[in-house]
Amino acid sequence: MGAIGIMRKRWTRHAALGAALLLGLTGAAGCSGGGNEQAEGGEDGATPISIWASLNTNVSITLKSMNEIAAIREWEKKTGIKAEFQHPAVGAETEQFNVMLASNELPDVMFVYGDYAKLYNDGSIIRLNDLIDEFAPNLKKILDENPEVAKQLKADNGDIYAMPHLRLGEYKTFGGMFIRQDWLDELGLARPETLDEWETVLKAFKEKKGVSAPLLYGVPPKMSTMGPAAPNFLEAYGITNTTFLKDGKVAYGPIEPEYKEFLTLFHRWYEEGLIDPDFATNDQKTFDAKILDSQAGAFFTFIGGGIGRYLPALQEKDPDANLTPVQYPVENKGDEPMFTGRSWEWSGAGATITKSNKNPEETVKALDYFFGEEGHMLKNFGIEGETYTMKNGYPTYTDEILHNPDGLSVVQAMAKYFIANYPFVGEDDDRYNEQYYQLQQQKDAVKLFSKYSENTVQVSIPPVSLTTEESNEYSKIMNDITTYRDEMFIKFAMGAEPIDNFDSYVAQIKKFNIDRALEIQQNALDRYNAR
Amino acid sequence: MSGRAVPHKLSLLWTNYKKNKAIYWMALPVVLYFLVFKYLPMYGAMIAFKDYSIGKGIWGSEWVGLQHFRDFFESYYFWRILKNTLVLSFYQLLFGFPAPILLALLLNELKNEWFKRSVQTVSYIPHFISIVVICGMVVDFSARGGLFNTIITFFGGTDTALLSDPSNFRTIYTASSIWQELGFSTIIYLAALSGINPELYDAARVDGASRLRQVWHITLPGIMPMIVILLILRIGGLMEIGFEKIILLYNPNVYDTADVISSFVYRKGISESAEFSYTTAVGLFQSVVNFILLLGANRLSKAVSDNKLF
Amino acid sequence: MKIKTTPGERIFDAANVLLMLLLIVVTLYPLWHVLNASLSDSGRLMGHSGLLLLPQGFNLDAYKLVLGNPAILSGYRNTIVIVVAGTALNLAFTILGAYTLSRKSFMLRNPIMLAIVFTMFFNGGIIPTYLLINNTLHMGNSLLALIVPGLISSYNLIIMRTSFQEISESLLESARIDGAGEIRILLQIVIPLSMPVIAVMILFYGVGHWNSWFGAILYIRDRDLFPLQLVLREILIQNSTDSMMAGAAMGDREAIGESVKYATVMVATLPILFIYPFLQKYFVKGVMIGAIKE
Repeated sequence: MGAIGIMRKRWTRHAALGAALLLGLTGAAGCSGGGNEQAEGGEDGATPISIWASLNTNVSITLKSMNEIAAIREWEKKTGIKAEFQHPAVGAETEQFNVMLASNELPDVMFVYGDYAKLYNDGSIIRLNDLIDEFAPNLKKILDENPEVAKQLKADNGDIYAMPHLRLGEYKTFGGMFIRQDWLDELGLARPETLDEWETVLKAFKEKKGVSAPLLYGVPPKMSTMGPAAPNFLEAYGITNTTFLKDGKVAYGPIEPEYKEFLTLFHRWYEEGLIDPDFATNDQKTFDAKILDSQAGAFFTFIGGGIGRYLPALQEKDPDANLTPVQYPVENKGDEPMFTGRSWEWSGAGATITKSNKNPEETVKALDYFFGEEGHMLKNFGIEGETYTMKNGYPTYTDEILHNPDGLSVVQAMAKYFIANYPFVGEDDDRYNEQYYQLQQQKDAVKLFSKYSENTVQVSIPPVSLTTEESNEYSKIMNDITTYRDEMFIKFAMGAEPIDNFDSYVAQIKKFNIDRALEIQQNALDRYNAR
Repeated sequence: MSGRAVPHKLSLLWTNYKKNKAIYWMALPVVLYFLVFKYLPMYGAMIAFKDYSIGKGIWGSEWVGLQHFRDFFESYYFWRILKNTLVLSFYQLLFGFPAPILLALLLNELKNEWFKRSVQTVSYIPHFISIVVICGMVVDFSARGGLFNTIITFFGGTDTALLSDPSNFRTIYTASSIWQELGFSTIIYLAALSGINPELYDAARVDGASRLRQVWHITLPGIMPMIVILLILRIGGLMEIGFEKIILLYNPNVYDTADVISSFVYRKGISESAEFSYTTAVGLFQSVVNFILLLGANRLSKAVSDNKLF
Repeated sequence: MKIKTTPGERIFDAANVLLMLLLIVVTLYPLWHVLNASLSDSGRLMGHSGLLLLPQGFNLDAYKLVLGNPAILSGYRNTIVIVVAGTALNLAFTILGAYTLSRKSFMLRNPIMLAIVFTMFFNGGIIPTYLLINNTLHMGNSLLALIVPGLISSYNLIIMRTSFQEISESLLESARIDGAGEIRILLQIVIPLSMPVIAVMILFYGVGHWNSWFGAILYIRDRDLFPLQLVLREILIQNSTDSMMAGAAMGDREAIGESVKYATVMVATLPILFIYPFLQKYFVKGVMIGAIKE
């Protein structure tokens, strides 16, 4: 009833506008700075700053807005601003973002994950270099001390457009292969390192354990943007499923000769029943079911959302079951894995200051707070005494977080008080990861997977930026190629296409003009290296 | 001649208006709605011929002519996705369109009113279950050892991953669509059926007409206008197959039969932040074809019956 | 009047009943599956595949989580407002359109119809519409933005018009001769005669409003104005591996449980399922119409 009342009020107000439009059909110019309507002079003179940011789903379980997060309230007190968060619907950030930009009604700050140079060229956001030099001493210090990070953050012309979310710690790899340790123990096998050892182990799983999916492979690209699960076995050959750096030059994995070796191996494994025969049709549900039904011997998953889910459910069914992490596979004994899915120091997410922002200095100053010692602790651990205590100089989460009295899970409890487990301005702390992972297997995994993280820097393409023209041309070429690659991969693996046809497959990809696509990436890389 | 014809038409219109003033005024809000909310924003379609960038806006973006159309038509996969779209649509038309009519006729023959209502109410439920959940079930049933395979092996077939065989995709897609939408699509025909004069049946029964003859001579003609109009609308949608269900069911192994225009464009969208112009161009192409198909269907229907859209 | 049934007819009737029973089983299954899954223990549900005839374990946590969401109540409220107000407006406008466009004496009906059908195929896309609603009409961030742009569905208009056209022209003509105005004819003859199609329209528009969330994604920034489906969609996404920020946050997700997905479907679906049995009574054969039709 109350709602209807509200409706009616709105209705009369808007009906007047509607009538005006119907009569005059005037296209009134859009007003700018929509976020600032009730902005002028917050209580006690705090500067109001509207912030557009996606609301992490762990927050929305208990809170309606990031304004209610304890750490944000503390941040407001410390910096004398009044944050006014605006949240698009989860999972629909892009849609609202695009119309928001088109409508020209921008908030003061947009926390985004995207093409910053384009936003700047479109005139939506401002350049931050001078503001950072003057008002962000903490971030400036980090950038000065870490030239690699500065390089990632800067555009090709040296501009900085975002107050970034950074990962400077040791842990930058969050997923990898897990294997049934209990089966290894039972069969007297060691954790496999090389492809040959993997084959032995998978064969043993197949023959001795009689399972249908010794190696459970890939959730195919469904609604997800992540594509086929990380192709670790392909990467053992030193190439990837897409573009990578080969001796410092951009190359495309699926047309390298090593790809043929991989296909040969993979096809053989498929024929011998070492790979899940349904790897092409798995969805999340069938994937999960095979793990929990003890049909899968080894598979790729993430430490948090994967193992945190599978291990307890598996052990409930079979108390002896155990999953342990395995190092990324290599071709020859003693090799170090090169590709480890390591994220870059700058995750690519950051806060931009829009042209509508009337207080850019204060905004930058306030955001810089998170890069200082105090702000860093606030972001990652919350409030001392309440959510963490210092034990021998180590910030330890309290039971409010680790064993929440209201029954919240660890992430949910964290999300209620501070901003550690999703991207926001500031730097992630390894000590958060160490405590966030509850299971010993998870704690082992994060260390194991990160062991060779640094190798990845030499072989993966850094966060380069393409111009609009380049990006259009690149995507046009790659669209056909990706379709072709995915289709042919399955055909080769399943034997529908004989591996002898590999050369004509490569020729077809060349015909799609892969060379031009690589040239575009190479140019962007050259510009990046020249930063 | 035409110089005289226009004022003549205008004066006819004026006479018509004088005679039907109330109708003209009643139609006004409807016409205004379409003008303001549908026609006013239509300038946006021009981005199909431009390189739309948010910063420059719709008017300010650069013209590129038919570039996006060319990109689309020249794609290696153009003919395949066009063919798949049309074939899948045709399957839907051939099997999906008559199914609810048949169900409505069968329901109409049920004697027990309570049973009839129960069937209706239950059969329309799947429409409300989200497509993600429905497709999840289909994937599960089609997997090795799944429900469908249990049935197939029972009849002596072999257990295979049904969804990784390109020759199964269209059947699974079409059948599951019918399963989900059958009951809901029937409702419209049930409403049309309730408009048939019961006296017609009484008279036919007195004449000794069999029930089949009654269906043929009374029931079907009674709902024919609705059937024809819905058929025309359906034909005007042949060029379009939504991406969501396709994406939930397909995998690269069945691209040969499963990849359609919308899923192809969707994959392109994933790699690119905002492909407004390209998407609009493809959409425009589909709309033009659909519109032509609809005009053709409408004209054909006008020629062979009295039923028409305009 | 009783007519003897032939053996052939009896066989047909029996087969028909059997077929309908089969249909009930097949179409009831999805709901049954969802219900069982929503009541299942998440861990056991994840490991289950195939038909789900009974819950795997029993657990109400999923419902606690879904119904405990801070936005769920306002979601229900907003959706009900949109469904009720939206459907009422939809009906009013659609009836006006369908009636005028079904009148053979209305000279502009064919050109207008063509123009309306044209909009089913061609539109300006999201951005100009957004600019119109948000910047020009200032309906952004209000429920109006979710109602007004979809005031008339061309498809529904066409269906209704087709049904109106079936009403005998001579009946309307005689009413006119008796001195009835157009509005009176519409209200006192056409609408009462068209209850079945109006019931269908209530269903189509009502269900459409109930299920819609896309408009809210664009126009609504205030979570207190989120419709139910958007709230549920968020809960769903949080429980799945797909997310916009997948690349950035993929290591840090903790799934609440598979059963939540199904509990959301139940919460979203059950209320709207009850609308149909109420509308069904309008589908009775020959409601009044028989007496007056040619």
